[in-house]
Order: sequence, then structure tokens, then C-alpha cells
Amino acid sequence: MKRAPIEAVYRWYFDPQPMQPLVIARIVFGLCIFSAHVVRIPYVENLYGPSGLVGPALYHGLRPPIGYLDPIIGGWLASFVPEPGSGLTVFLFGALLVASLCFAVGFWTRLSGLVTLALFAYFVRLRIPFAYWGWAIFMMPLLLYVIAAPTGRFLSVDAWLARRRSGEGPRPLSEWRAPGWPLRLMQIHLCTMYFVAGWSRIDEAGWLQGQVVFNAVNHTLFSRLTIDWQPWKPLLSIGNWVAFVLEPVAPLLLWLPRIGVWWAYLLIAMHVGLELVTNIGMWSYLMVVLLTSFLPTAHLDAALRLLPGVSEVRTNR
Amino acid sequence: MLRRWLGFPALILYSALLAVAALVPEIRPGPLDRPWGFAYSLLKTVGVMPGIPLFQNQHGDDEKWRAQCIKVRADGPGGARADLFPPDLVCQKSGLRLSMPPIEHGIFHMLEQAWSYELALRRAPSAADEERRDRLLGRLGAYFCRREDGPFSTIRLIWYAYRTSYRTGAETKKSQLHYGYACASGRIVDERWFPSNRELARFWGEDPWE
Repeated sequence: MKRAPIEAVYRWYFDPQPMQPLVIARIVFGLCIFSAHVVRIPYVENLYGPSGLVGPALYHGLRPPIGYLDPIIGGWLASFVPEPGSGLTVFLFGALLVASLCFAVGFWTRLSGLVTLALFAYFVRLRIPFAYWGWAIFMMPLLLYVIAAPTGRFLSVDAWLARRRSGEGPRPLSEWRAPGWPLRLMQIHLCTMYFVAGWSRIDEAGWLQGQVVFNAVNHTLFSRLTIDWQPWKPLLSIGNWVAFVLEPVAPLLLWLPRIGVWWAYLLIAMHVGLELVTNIGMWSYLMVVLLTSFLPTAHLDAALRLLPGVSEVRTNR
Repeated sequence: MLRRWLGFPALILYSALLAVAALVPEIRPGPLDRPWGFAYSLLKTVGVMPGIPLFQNQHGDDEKWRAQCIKVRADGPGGARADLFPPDLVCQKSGLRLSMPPIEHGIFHMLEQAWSYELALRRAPSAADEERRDRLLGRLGAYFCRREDGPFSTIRLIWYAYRTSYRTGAETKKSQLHYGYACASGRIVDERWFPSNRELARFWGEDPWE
């Protein structure tokens, strides 16, 4: 009897769970990394090359140590990474584009995912973190969860090739299941994100006075459209309060039956709204994908059936 | 077997580290400071952040940021001057901006980081922060010195902040940072934090953007 709670936690992590959120994450993360770097093609040398913004040396050492182990482990890891020549930079950059696209379409899924993660970490963390928003740093462990899950079995080139060899039909959506721990880590990480974002602002005057959305849309650094927002202050103030309430309680409410689904949809609406008016890299896409892990599988299936090749696999075989 | 005795405890440990590292100082009880420091540092060492405090440090002052603009001017050996940045020599203070150009993004965030070291220096002098600030600015200066349209003897950079009054909508401008970098010696030769408008006007004109 004493072991029952431990067993319940074990099952919570390891019982098969729907893989739809992770398949969506694979596609969106891959495309986010690909598109974020495609637009950088004209700037490869200026951003990442030896004559680029941070020069030939690796970034490590430009910032203060970030943890007890960082100077040791970070320095040790950096010692294995060659300082970039122009040719090497272009090669690695091209490899990142190819790998991220392969990951998105699920071709050699795990390998392309690992290559994507390694090269993404190289460009963001070791070359020039200044050229990215926070999404790039935040995405890395999430990418690892997706790589750990068997997403290549579903809606992927790998699955299509396997079916061609075996002659079987496509797997029904109800069979998109695998051990749940990567999904659980994604859900926990989403909750810690909202916890940090939501509670770190709890005593800040700008938030308490309802001014923060105005600040964001008024500033050309964040805003897609910088106009005279003065007449819109009351509406922007409502946006401030919506975010102020939605995010801190999300780590609790997302887990509650029924309420959690509504809360997830409200948060998705908030991120879509933010994406329309602000310019914060891939942040909104990342958060919306993470929130799908709290949506009912039936809702995700309905969306997935809109894709070619999925529409005909409604029922179990 | 491996899953139960190795994978499961590892997942529990990692989840616990994430949860503890997410305890922000605003609500963290004092006794949890050390566990938080350990969890946060350990995760950050391997590139994991429990979360990012977005739109933090939002003060309730009347002045709100409108735009932050950077301009870089080079002096050649014969006294010739060239404006190196931004490429179109325009500071966008309003209008539609679908995305931020990556180079501007990188330069701006390097300056912001250098500025954070400067602010730390003002609170408590530290040789390490001074070195980091100068190293960052030095790398930025070296980037412009290497430009193909050189050679240059000196690079001068100005970072201007434009602000809006939340109450009235009135706009103000203020220089955030201004520094000069000698290309030959690789040293910052002329740094003035918050230089006076008269000092700036002597070099840049009344308003470098107009």
C-alpha cells in the first residue's frame, strides 16, 4: 500500500500518452529554427564569422560565470569547439538549415534533431547570443524532450518510408501514443515558465499600474506597429491585466479538469494577440505549441486532420 | 528495470530541480535561497532555464521607451568621415516594423549588456565588470574597424534613447552611451557615459538623426 503513491507517479511519467503535442512541437520547433536562420543568410559572416560582431573568439568568457559549475564545464566544453573560420561557419550554418528542416519533416528524425540542437546551441550560446531573443535559449531543453520522444513514427518522412517498405497503411491518430515522460517534462517546463514570468512581476509598479502592454507596443524594439498609442491606453491596460492574471495561476489551473482547457485556450489567445502586435522572435509559436500539451487530444486530432495524409486515418484499424 | 531504477529517479530529480529553480525571489521564502541557487546554477550550467522573467523591471515612471537608435561614424586616416551604421542611416521611431534586422538586434543587445556592466560598476566598482564592459565594446569597435570600406583610425558610436510621456505623449531624447574606439591600438580612447548635449553636438550635430 505504501508504494501506491510512488507507483502512481511512476505511471504518470511512463504510461503511454498521446504524442500529438510532441509531433506538433517537432514540426513547429524545426520550422522556427529553420525560418529564424533562413532570414539570417545574408548576415552569416557579419553575425557568426570570424570578422563578425563578436570577432573570432568564442563567446564564452565575455559574460560573467553563471553558476557554480559553469566556469569548469562551460570552459571545458568550449575547449573542444574550434574557433570559426569563414568556411567552417558557412558549413555549420548550412548544416543547421538542412538539419532543422529534416527534423521538421521527420527525416532521420532523432539524428537530425540532435544535429539541430548541437548546431543551434553552438550559434546561440557559443557564437552570439545577442542576436537572438530569449526564445532561443528557452527552446533548447524543450527540443531535447521532443528528440527523446518517438515523434519520427508519426506524420514524418521516416514513417512514410517505413510504410513503403512494409506496405502498411498510415497509423490512426488513436495509435499515436508512447511513454509519456517527454510530454510530462514539456508540461512541467511550461508551468515553471509561467511561474517565473508571472510571479517575478507581482510587485512591479508598471504592471500594477496597467502600463506594460503600452510599454511593449510603444517601443520600436518590441512593437510591430509603432503609432501613437495614447488613445488606446484603456484597451492596452486591459491587456496588461489579462496577462497579469492569466500567467501566474496557469501552473495550477492548467492541470484542473475542464478549467485547464479553457485556461490553455485563453493563454493561446493571449500569445496570438502578442504575436500580432509585438516582435519577439519565435516566442509566441513556442508557447502556443507548449500549451497544446494541455489541450484534449480530440481537439488536436481535429486540427491534424486538416493536414494532407492525416485526413484519411480517422478510425482505428 | 533501467527505467524504474535509473530513469524514474532521474525524472523526479530533474522535475524537482526545475520546480525549485522557478522560485523567483519575489515569493521565495528565505530558507529556500540556497536550494534555489544550487538548482538554478546547476540547470543553467547545462543550458536549461526554468523560465524567463519577461517584461521585468517595469517601473511606473511617466517616461516610456519609444526607440533606441544607434549610429556609428568612422574617421579615416586623412580626416575623412564615413557613417557606417545603420546601413540606411535612418532611425525608425515609428511605423510598421515586421522584424528587427539581425545585425541591429545583435549590436543593440551587445550595447545593452555593456550598459548593464556599466550600471553594475556604478553600484560597486569591480575590475571584472570593467574588463567585461570594455571587452564587449572593444569587440564591437573592432567589428566596425574591420569593415571593407576602411581603413579607419577611430570609430565613434552613439546610442540614443527616445522616450514618450505616458501621461501626455510628449517625446524626449537622451544619449544613453557614447564611446570612441581607436582602430590601430584596439583601445577605447574616448568614453563618456551620459555626455552633455553640447559635447555630443560638437561631434554629431544637434541631432544625429535629423
